Amino acid sequence: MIRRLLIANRGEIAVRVARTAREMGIETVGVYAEADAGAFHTLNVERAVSLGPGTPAETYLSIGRLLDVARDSGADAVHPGYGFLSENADFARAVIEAGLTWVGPPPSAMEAMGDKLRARAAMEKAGVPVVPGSPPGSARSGDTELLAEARRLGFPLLIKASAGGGGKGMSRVTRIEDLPAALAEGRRIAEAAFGDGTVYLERLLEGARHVEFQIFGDSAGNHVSLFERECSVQRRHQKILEETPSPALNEPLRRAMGEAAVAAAKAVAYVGAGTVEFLVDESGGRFYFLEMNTRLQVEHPITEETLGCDLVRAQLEVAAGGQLPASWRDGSLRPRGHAIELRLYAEDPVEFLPRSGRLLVYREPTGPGVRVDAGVEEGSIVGVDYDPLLAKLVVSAETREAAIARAKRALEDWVVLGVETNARLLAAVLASPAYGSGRYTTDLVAQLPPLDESRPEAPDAAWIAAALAPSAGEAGPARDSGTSARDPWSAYPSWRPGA
Amino acid sequence: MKTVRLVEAHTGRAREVRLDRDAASIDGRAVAFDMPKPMPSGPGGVHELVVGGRRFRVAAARSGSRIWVWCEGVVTEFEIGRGGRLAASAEHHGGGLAAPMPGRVRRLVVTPGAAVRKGDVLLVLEAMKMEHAIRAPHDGVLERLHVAEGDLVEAGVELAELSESEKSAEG
Repeated sequence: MIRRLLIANRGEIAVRVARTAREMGIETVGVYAEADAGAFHTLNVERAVSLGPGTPAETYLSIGRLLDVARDSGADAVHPGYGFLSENADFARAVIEAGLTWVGPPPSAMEAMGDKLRARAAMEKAGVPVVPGSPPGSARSGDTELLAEARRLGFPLLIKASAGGGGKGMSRVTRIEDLPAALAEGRRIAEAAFGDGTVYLERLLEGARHVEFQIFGDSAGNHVSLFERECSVQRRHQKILEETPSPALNEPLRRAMGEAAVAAAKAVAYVGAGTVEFLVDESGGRFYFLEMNTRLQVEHPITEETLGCDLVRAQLEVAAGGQLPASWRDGSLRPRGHAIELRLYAEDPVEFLPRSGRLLVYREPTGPGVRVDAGVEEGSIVGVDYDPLLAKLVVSAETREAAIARAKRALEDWVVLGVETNARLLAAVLASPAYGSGRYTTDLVAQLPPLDESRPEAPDAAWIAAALAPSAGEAGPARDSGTSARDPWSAYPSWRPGA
Repeated sequence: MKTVRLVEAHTGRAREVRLDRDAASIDGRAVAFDMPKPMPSGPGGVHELVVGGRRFRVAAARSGSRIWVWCEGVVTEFEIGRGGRLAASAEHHGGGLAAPMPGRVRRLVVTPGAAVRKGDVLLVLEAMKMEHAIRAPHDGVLERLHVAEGDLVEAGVELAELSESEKSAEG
């Protein structure tokens, strides 16, 4: 059994993991970079240890420092969360060699799936369909070979980083003339981001949907599919809203994809939680392996809500040598109702540029079927060094229609002031006819009417509320962004209409 | 009584809001309003305003000259006074050399004194896993850089100065 768990992450996922660990009676040790001192995630663990000052590379990404903290704190297991070192096989290996339990898949499985070209080859061998693209062995190809390959595949196509993920180093090329420059740029970004400049080509399937399957394995060799998550609502190749079940799948397709996902997991002797991503083409009848993420996903809560399970608990049990729950193995598991996740990002909703600042007012929605996994609280400072994800709103209901209505209501009730967020974009997605119909693809966000043009004028009440905030003339600049700025009304204790 | 001049951040529209004990006006137009309950003190509250006979739930907060208002599920940003140049719209204002987002200066591409063409990348900002190229808004000579590689900048901060084009055309 795990007694003391080091959570090698920050933000909402560190909070998420800590909650389940504490429910299981496991002691939690959190970490923070100096810039994050007092951050929300450090208040959700029993002990928080500083990683010192410095950039993410010197703190949350420093294998040496994290292992020092693990040793000094007496932790016997490490959960990496997602992002940071979660898909770094060297970190996993170092944790295991230090005699600790790694809450994740075997390093060999991480390596097999981490190299996208190797993963494609392994999937083809396992009989899982892959997106047409550069053949295995093209890793060292020069521009001449890749140009010939591009002619064979046809345009538009995508350049992808073999070591990549999260859309980084990925670009869309529509004309062969643009290919050499795009290859050079892709290699440069891939080299900078992943230390490996290898890129490959993949046909761009237009009008495709992005559907992933949650899989789980244990060390006894059991592998199960925990059904799909529809992830087609994206901006910059990154998801902003997910739902399950996918409106695009019928039962035969769902079964076939689930079986392919399990075959993918078996092919690399997978243990723990993983996600197999597929593209589903427009006609809906065909699917292609895209990649496998060897960690817990950001959007895992929608699976938890429809299956009534706790994926972090299962991760911790499997890491400690336990088997998957019997109800998962005997095939009796069925999702119930519908769940949607909305990702609240600190970014402007039109150009998707990151925003920073302090959360002056922060009030979360509540109510039946509403769950918020947040990495922030009122007063939190949002900086520029980390992923802009502030929190996730997860709603569940009996039907898709009811879940959409619940998501709209909860989003309206979410009061977030002080840092601009993408809330307007999320509201526009929920209100769009394409989303409502369930027939949407990865270009949904690009097809929305321009947000600013459709934006109604602020009502008189908003202007008056703004004027009620301490005025420049009377209050001067706020001394700090704490109490005085937080509560505009308290600046006028003696003033109210009709008094 | 007090009068506040406010600029709506996303439209740039300016209005003068005047509050009296039992009435308000926006650009001279009388608006009936009431607060049924005294405003409680303490952070984060959603309050009730009755404006023109309709009830609105609102929350507001201010940081420096920036005011944030949540009104029935919609957030609007305002700037106090007329002079406030808004960071979010700086890049649309022709100059183009103000940082459009907070971030770290990842790379300086052009050195001061060099002639550049409209659209050339001058420097690259990075924030939250994302790179953003700052391009020359017109032909010219890069006169000055206000930042160094690795610097942390706020949105709206001037990054560089670019002279007008004439001399550089011959290159």
